[in-house]
Amino acid sequence: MYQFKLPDIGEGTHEAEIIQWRVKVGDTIREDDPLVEVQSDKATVDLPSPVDGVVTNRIGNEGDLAIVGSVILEIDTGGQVAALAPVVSDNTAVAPPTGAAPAPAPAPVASESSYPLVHPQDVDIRTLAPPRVRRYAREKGIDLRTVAGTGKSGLITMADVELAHLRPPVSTSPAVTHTAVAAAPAAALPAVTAPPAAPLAPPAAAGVVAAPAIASPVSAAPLALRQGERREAMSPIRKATARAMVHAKATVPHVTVFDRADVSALVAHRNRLKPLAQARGIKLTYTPYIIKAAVAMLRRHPHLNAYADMDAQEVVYRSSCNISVATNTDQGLFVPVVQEADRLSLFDIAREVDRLGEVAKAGQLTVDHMRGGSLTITNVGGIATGGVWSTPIINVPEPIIIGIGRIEGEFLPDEDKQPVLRDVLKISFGFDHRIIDGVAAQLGLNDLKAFLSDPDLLFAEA
Amino acid sequence: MVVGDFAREADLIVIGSGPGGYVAAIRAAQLGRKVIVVERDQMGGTCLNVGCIPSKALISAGHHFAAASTKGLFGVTATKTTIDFTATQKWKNEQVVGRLNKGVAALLQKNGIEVIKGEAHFIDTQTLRIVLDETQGQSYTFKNCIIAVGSRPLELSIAPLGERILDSTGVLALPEIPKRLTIVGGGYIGMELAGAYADLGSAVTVLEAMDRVLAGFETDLVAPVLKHASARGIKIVTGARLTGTKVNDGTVTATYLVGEEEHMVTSDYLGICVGRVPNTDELGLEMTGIHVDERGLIPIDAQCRSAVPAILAIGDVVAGLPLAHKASYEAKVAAAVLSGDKAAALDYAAIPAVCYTTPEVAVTGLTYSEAIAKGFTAKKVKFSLASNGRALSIAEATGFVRLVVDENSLRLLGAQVVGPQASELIGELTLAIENLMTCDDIVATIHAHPTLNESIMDVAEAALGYGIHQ
Repeated sequence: MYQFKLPDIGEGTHEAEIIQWRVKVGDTIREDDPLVEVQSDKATVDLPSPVDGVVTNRIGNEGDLAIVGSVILEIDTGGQVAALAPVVSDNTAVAPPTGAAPAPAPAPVASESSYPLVHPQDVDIRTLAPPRVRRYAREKGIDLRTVAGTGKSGLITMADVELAHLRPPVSTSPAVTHTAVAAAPAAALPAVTAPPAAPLAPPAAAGVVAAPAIASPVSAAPLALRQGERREAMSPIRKATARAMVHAKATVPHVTVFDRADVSALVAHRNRLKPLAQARGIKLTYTPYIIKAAVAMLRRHPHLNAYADMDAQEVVYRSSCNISVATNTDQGLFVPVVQEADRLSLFDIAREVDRLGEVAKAGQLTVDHMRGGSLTITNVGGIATGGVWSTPIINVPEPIIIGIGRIEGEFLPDEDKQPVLRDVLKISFGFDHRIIDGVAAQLGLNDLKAFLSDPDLLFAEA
Repeated sequence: MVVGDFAREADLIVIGSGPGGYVAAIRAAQLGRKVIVVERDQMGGTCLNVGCIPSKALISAGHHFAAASTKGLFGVTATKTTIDFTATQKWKNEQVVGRLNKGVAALLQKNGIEVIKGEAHFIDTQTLRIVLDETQGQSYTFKNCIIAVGSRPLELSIAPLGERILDSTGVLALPEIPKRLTIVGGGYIGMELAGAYADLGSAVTVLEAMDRVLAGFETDLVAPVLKHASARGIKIVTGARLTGTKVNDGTVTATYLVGEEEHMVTSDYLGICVGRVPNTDELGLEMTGIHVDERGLIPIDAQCRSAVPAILAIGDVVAGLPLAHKASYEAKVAAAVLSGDKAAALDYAAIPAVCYTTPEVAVTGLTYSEAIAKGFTAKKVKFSLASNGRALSIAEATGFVRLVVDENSLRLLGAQVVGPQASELIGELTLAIENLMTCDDIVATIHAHPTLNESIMDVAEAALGYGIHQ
């Protein structure tokens, strides 16, 4: 019996949503046949079968979250046919009921890349906890094999499960896991598809298997609708966004510093360069400049080009400056990364930002497009009618997010304390206070402002 | 049958109104679904009409008659005990089965469930046709369907059912107490019926093909049953393979082989109790793409879903012990699944199984051998009912309670009981096993005296090494 476990689809994510089953119990499948379409925070992937065989058990329903490493499919590859978990087959024609024919252990689940097992991998979870606690674990999506029991003889209690539920998600690789920026970072692989129809009967009928490794959203009793109200199921991207946002806010201590930079010189510089850029087929916006300024800041403050790995209790320093750019599309907000921006010229950056924008609009961003960012630049003032400050949500695991407002005329005092109309850019500089303290942040921000205020300096240092 | 009528739209259709079907229907209705139950026969299914309930009623009647006929029991002697079996059957059919029929119907009505009398056949994965009679039928589309059609007695081609050759349903419905009754099949159904009619005064023979009757129970559990059967004059032939039957005028002769030797037994009736088959062959399942396995069972996942996710299956049509309480358990899970409960799942460790012979046998959880095979460091402890006060006071002090215990944690892994009220005693034991209780949990709980139930506390105490009454 081959047990197909949900693989880590490449970003160290803890769990993935089952979007659509491609097979059902009883189907004969060949190696490489698609088994199931899953979505994690960033990508939708079809998982191929590694074996030939007949599907004997399918664990989890469309719409459920499955934990990476858990068994989601069982395939009979032609060896002995095991009884379908958890019901036993003991229905011979003459045999009276044998008292000792209980349901065999629920489908064994492995959860290698999530939390460490504190019980043997093939333990029968019915020996770890009574039914009430097992059900609670299913509701909370907790694999009981990863929970140490504090009850008598190591029994797992409700409180133990509750505590386990509050554990932070584990990421095994430093690549972007649950991320959030100003909005959703979900992407498609290869293309963003509209979420498939929710399962059959209303209300959404989805069950979670006895194997407690499947996490499902808790179904609380829905509040009754009032006159005129209506409900709509959340799309997978919306769900992914919601999860990512909650995670970012819950785990990262955000501090946002509001500041402004006098960018009159920058405005003039861009105006001069625009026709030159156009001649080279480039639409020159302020974004490449801001990226350049961010790169310059990071080069002068390499300790800001790092991120926290709280599980290892280490700070990881990056070797290149990769700048994420929040990009709005019809399907949602995505955050592709201009990789190694420190090696690119201003025009190169502009071309790359353009290109990524096209890819994003076409719904073809992949996981790799959105990986490895040092910090994110997000346009918070784009459609505002007045310059704004904001408190953008950090794109985990990046330590910094720079919210760019509108460039507007403001009267600032000159050397003679006379009001002069200058072009001013409002900056909302958000950072992760686990690894960046206020002073370091302000020093970085000071340099960022300096670079934005003086294109000559930017050219010299970036 | 008119093809192409307008299909009515249904929300949830439950096929079958037995302990699986009616429980699923009521629970689903409680949870907000709009439910239709389709039943082709009597409300309440096999269990209520031709299974669990009527057999227990007859068994009770048999016990009562046998006790009343026993001279000197409690000092009581009746000079002549008579039985009006017509009255017995009338009581069973009206006061027991009939009341429960009405009860199930009332419960379904109370929960706003529509009941359609007819036979359901699938047309496709979301459409059923319900045949109401020879000419009328109605199609229904459904969002979900629960298949709870149960099972029927297995028939043997060499023993075609008729006036003298009966299945378990027929044996339960006999109009008079047979002078001689032969039962083919020494499983729990055959042995229960054999015991009932022996108590009622029949000369009963049981023919069992395996080397022992009640082969699913450990031998020491069956020994007291055999002893009592022998005292009642029940003749049990093991290793007996039925080779032919012949209906005569008013009798039936069964021919069987024991080894190479041929034997014959003639009786008034021959009961065929060799097992049951799921009713999955009459549903039109092939129209849904759902394939049954080689035993006719529908494969399901832990949410009771078949290969077609909208169609669930429970009870005797799915694998596991073909017991009414298993069907009811699965029914509640299925109903929860179909109401959006994402944590609902088939998830139990212990399921009790009871045999209503005299004495009763009941088991739950693991046997000692099974526990060892699973890698537990297990021990088994037995407590005889011979010294239980209550057992003595009802003059039924035979039997024992056995616990299978994990030596390290002292948790209950399994339990087996033979003796009076074993069917009731198994409840506490199943509760303890399922909830991972230990022997000291049981001992720490006060058990009433004088009861048979306190023997559970006694055996748990013995397992801890300091039994008072052991």
